[in-house]
Amino acid sequence: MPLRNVVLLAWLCIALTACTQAGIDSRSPVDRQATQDNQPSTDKPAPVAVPAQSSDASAVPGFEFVVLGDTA
Amino acid sequence: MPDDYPAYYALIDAINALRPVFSIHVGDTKGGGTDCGDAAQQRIREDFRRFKQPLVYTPGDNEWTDCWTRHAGGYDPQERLAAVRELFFTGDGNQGGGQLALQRQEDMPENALWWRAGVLFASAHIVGSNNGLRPEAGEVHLAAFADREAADVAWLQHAFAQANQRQAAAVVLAFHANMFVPSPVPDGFARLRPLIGELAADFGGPVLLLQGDYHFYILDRPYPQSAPNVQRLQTYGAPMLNAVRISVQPGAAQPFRFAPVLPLS
Repeated sequence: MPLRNVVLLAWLCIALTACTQAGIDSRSPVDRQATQDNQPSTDKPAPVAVPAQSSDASAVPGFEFVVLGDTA
Repeated sequence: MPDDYPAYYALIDAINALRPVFSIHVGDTKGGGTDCGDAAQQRIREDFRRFKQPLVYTPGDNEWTDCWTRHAGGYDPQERLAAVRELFFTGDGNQGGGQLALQRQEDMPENALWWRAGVLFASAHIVGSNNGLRPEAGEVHLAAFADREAADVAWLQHAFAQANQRQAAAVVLAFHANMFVPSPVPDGFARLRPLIGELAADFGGPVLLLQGDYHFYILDRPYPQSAPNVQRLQTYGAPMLNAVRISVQPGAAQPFRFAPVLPLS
């Protein structure tokens, strides 16, 4: 293969690799976001707030009652 | 006696579905224009048994005070009060299902006191129609009024003394009368209205007054200057057969939250 063709092929390979790595995406921004939204998250789960153990003896569970009147 | 039994029963069904720790009926279980006889009271007693959780009841004016009128049967109010006490308050005072440990006033057993999660609850026999004060009814009537008023004064003082002694998280006081409207002369609430404000101000913690009488919803602070820690709830009444669900968070600065209860359709 002539040296000129080798150089041309090499340049084409470099250009193709660069395009692939750049992830050129012809989809619209909306379509891309929709795809991302449907993907399972690979993020770490958000930390869950755990109530601190209270040492306050006055922390009393709530309750509900009902008042009614003048039922006639 | 409820004019609209299906709606009343549907309201009780809605209350039962909520499974409250208890309910309080603040009086006027019958209309002022219906007969005050034993049959009506017996029917009311039977209807109370529909409540699956405990029910505490404090009488209203329609049950006895106003029974002297012709359309209510022309009864002697004191005789009707004795009948109400005999039917509703000779036992432990619990009306619905379940049991509450109720402390009762010896002279006036319809006045009750109980605790829940550090909150003191008390009922007081204070009724609409000017608290039943009718000077034209004569000396016997006036003497009975004075006795009941003195018993209420003692009971309110006792309740707030308990609340202070045990450092209650809040106080809930239930009675029938809307005493926060202009009253005739003589004023049947002249002694009790300021007393409640004074006792509540001295207590200092959250105080909730529950009452009926005027049949529409009010939530306000009736002592804005002298006792701003007092809230007053006037519950719904017929023909708007709703109730009010009260969520209590003891120890919170604002421990009471309110939501209507509508009859199950």
